[in-house]
Amino acid sequence: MSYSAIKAKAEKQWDWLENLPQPLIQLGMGTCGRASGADDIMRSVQQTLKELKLLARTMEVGCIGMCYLEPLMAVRKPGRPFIVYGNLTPDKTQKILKRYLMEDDPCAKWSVCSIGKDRIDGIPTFEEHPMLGAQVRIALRNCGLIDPGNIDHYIARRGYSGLQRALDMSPAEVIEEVKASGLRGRGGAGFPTGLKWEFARNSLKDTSTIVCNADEGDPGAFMDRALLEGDPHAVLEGMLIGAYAIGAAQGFIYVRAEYPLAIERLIKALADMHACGLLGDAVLNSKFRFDIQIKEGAGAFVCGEETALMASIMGRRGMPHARPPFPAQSGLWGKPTNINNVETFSNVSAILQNGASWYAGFGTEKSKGTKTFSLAGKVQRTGLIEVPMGMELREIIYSIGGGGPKGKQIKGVQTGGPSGGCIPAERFDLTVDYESLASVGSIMGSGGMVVMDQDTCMVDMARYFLTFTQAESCGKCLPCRLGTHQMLDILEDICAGNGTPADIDLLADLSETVQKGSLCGLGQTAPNPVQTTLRYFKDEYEDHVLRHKCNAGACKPLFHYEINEELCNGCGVCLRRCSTGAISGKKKEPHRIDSTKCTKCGICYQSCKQQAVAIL
Amino acid sequence: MEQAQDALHIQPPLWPQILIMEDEMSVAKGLELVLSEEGYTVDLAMNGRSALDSFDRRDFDLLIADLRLPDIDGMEVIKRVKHRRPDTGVIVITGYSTVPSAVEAMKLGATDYLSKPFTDDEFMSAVKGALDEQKVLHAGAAQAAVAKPAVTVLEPLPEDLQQVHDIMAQIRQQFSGTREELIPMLQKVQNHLGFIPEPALEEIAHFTRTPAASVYGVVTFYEQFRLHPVGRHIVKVCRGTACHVKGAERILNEIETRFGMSPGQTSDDRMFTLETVACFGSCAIAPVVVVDDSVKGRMDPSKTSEVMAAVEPADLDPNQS
Repeated sequence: MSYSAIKAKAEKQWDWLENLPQPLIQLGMGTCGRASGADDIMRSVQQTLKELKLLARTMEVGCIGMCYLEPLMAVRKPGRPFIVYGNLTPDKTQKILKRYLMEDDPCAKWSVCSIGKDRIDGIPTFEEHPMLGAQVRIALRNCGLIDPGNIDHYIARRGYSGLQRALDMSPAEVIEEVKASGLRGRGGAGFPTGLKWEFARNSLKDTSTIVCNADEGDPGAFMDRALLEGDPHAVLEGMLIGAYAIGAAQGFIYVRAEYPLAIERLIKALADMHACGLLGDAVLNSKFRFDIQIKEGAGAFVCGEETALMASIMGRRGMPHARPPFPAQSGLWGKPTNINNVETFSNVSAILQNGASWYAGFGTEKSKGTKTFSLAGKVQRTGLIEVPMGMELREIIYSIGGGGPKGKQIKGVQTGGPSGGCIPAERFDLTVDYESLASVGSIMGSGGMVVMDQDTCMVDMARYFLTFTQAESCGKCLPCRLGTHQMLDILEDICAGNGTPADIDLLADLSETVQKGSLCGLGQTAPNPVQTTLRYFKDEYEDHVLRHKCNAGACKPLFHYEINEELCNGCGVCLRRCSTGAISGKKKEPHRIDSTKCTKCGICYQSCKQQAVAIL
Repeated sequence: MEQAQDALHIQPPLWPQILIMEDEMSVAKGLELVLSEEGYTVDLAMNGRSALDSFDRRDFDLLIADLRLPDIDGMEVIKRVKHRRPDTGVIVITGYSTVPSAVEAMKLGATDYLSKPFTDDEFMSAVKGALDEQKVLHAGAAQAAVAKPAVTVLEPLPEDLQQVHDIMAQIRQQFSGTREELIPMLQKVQNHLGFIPEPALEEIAHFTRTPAASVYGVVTFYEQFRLHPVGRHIVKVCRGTACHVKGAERILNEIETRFGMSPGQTSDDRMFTLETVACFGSCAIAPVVVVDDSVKGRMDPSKTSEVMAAVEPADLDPNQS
């Protein structure tokens, strides 16, 4: 089929949806939404509609990024904007539908924002919402707005026009366009995408292969999952453009097995693409021939590294090898191979749709465009965001994220997962781009951003990341295999109260050895969390080692809980929730904790509304 | 500092604690052996006084009481123990059984009354019965699960192995046997059986013309693959950064305390296998626990116990089995 034919068909369907004479109800059915109970909400919607004998359409959409409000629902009456409602329960859903659809009360108190042209009194618009307004959504342009299982929705919103434009250009021109956009790899290292493609294109010894790296292994990062679940075609279009540019006939998507919904969406998307003539022997009736296969990962973090990923696709142990040869020279089965990240591809399709200069208009001198971040941890508005490069950390954490939970002091933010570093709150004036994050010892990484407050112990944080890298080290390079193990041993000692001042120096020393002596990114960056916490939070290490205290209340042997009798009002919440019966006290009288029975599970500390439980 | 070190020694009792009150050393030692083989923690008291002293020092879940003791009457000890801690389980063992003493013991709240001599099996079933009853007593406070020792490695059942043949037949039809299909094939076997039995591993090696050792190398490299069977339900606790910051460790501790399982272990009744996963990518609703295929967000220790208890409610009810 030609592009104009599939476009005409898609637009017809979209027009019909836009001008639907009945109410339209959208439900966020990504993994986050489902985990928060979106399935129950869907059932409640259907039941309510039946009871009210109302004709209304329901539609599944991906994640709009406001995960802290999941489950979410958007309701549109004909000729009006969508109203988004959050924190739904089946009961609340029923009330909203009844009141809005039957009595025309938009239930403003439960609404989050409106999406669409007009505004509804008492409800902020999308642009006015503090979390959404400051964002620039390019990679996530369709997430949460279209049905990810319907290719026509994507096409109607200019989808695959980028591919059509690329096919009208020569591959070299496409590469020039991507180079001009300034796009850099979103997987972490930030290598210019256009340049990478050029290398692959130039090693024309054989047909090449293109791989989409969806092995999002960084704990704390979930933007690739949300993107594949919410708008798979944006990624697939980018992949097709890349394949055309480098001359690849075969593509692979290497996706984590932990993301079953993303895999389901991809399978559906590929089938639809075949049906529309977007894959196969003549893509959009051109001479370009291309097909894509899904490869499921099997749970090895190191497979996010290019060379290990290729070993895994070929059915081997996913261990990295030395470069050169680079994948662009000799990759899968010895053929030139180009590997890009999910988000990179989604940006590529946007660049070809809108032009390089449009894209280069966002961001900073050296880091163009936008970057998605998964904002998580101790912040009020957690979720998936996309901001222009160069935004200050402060703005992301306080304006978009809404700051820390009530009454808690934000201590720092961890970016880049186990390869990244912890940045203290004093440095929140830092802008997010590849260079400035590197300047403080962290990395952009794939975009995980975990906010930490006074209850997070930075030594424990470093120990946590080392537990991860130590377990995920493939074992090939000795400094990584044994070095991370030794570092972890030392950190565990410190967290158990058995650390000595000499341990801190040894940690710093080992960090350098592991960094220098490892072949791949895993080992080279594994010490980053330790080095940055040593640099910015050395006082916490000293508290653990010299004073045997963990003021954050994370390292169990180094603190205990006590109830402040002056603050305790004897409400009894802690007493009821304590599973070991360690708390005693009469109603309305100060309670006490029996430290011999206390297992330091922290439930009293978390559940006390008076903040009477203290860490000592 | 002292408090900190004290804390290192305070661990909640994972397994039931049992006190044997018996003046005959050979009998006492014999029972201790039987119980400790089953994983219980056992203390001995050679007379009534020392039994009461033991109860002064700490609580026991179960008292095994002989009635004829050199100092105090066994019945008197039971009375005092029950007075102090009514939910202590009691099993009477005696060489001089009489109907009136049995009636009295039951009235005092003993769960079972065994006349010497008895077999190990009779004894163990009495112990298990008494502890089950205790579980019901505790169930009101929390859905306490069976605190039986967990097992690390389960052996395949004959049914598992019978299925290998069928699955391999399917695999031979769907795949052509190239090396790059190795991981998808292994995934297929595991999807069906929950693990990869040795015969399947060997057949896949043969089919792909790869040495079995290489296939084994691949299986052991990837976190996803298991070489041993798992429980009926798989509980995965995410240990991603956000989950860690928001208390995943506390959830793991809770499962360990309530269900006696550490990561990688299967509960004794084959109901649950506990695993940890590096990150589920649902960080915004951390901490995350996945029970079978259902992702549960914003969990805490007590919600986790509730979710696990609700998986197979009948199984946790001792009256049903």
